[in-house]
Amino acid sequence: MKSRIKEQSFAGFAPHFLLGGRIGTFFFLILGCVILLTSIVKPSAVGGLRIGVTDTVSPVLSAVSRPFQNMVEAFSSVSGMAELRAENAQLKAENIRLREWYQTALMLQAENQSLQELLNLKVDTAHKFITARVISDFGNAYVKSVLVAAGKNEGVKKDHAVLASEGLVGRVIDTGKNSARVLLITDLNSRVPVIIEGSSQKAILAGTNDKMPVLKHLPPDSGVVKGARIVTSGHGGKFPAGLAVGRVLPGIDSQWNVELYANMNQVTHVRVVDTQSDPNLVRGDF
Amino acid sequence: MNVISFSLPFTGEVRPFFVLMAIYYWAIYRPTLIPPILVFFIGVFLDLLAGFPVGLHAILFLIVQWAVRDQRIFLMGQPYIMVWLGFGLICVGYSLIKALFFLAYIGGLPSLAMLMSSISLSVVLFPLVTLLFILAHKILPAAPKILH
Repeated sequence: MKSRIKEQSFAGFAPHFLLGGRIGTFFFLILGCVILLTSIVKPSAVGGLRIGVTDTVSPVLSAVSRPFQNMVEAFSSVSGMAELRAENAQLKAENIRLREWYQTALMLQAENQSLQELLNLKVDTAHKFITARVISDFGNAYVKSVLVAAGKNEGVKKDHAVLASEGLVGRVIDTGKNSARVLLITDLNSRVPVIIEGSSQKAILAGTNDKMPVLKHLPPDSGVVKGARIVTSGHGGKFPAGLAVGRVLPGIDSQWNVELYANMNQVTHVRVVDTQSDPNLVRGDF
Repeated sequence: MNVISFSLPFTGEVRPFFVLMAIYYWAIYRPTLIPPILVFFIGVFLDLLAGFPVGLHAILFLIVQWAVRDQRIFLMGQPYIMVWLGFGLICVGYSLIKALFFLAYIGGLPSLAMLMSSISLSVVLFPLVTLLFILAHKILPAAPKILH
């Protein structure tokens, strides 16, 4: 005798043929293909839905991710106990060096101000930062983006640059009321105009979906040297000029890779910069 | 679990396939709990949140569920290690289809090391996660009635 299974869990919500068996699976496979094609051909068709869902779910993600982040922080602090002594000595030495730099910076700031006044130079307008927590981490093999717990209500807008404490992380590509999606600079679709300090050579930093993005559009005689510092050039207007990005390392096929200052896997808080950068915060010597 | 920011040390960008574990387990032991309609919406939800092309995971999860449901009677009669091995094969197939899709879509393949690490981590964690599913299975009301 042929058995049939009485569907209980979702009875009443949908017609019976959608609940189980091959017909239901086939129906949703076709529907999935239609939606997939639509989202590939016209991504804007699902853009509103995407940010709506993100906005709705962000408080839940924020609440759930908090204990995990606390746990990781606690684990890191405990596991690092053995290294504390060495780290302390290193920090003391670094502190002495930084005090010297601080004095130099004060002198240079005063000199810079006086020269600017002398030349009647138009100074960049004031800059704003919005600090936000990373609530969702989608750094996987295919898509490199994160969700942050700040949106339009906090003043976050599309194309704002996003920084970690060490350097540039990415830019805002979608904003909801209380959340925003950040495209990381490691994503394959990311392109950032940069400048190589020392040589003043301009280039485009292109994501590769790997840890190290590559420098593109460099002439053969660019004069790039290993370890050179990379900062944003400000061209194109999306990223403010002077944001620290990383340092150059030789890659395969005479290509130059960039080792990023920001550790993408360990970022828990970010700063969203509006349009102008704060040179005192981003021009640090890493 | 697939969408929460863990920032786990030493794992980097390697993420286990938690949703796949749930779909695989319930497709074998209680398929009525997650019917195709639910699998479809889980996939769409994941795509919307994670920034993937919408519908990709819905299709992938439906294919996985279809394949596993066809073999569920066989798998239910096997020792746990075979079910575990079956999950490993599903992970490889799932990753392969996804990689091929992205090869066609963006013209690039992800790092093989990262893919292998994700598969390995998922396979290693599978017994731990299934323990939770077994617990949930016991707590849930009785299985759907079989009418003759």
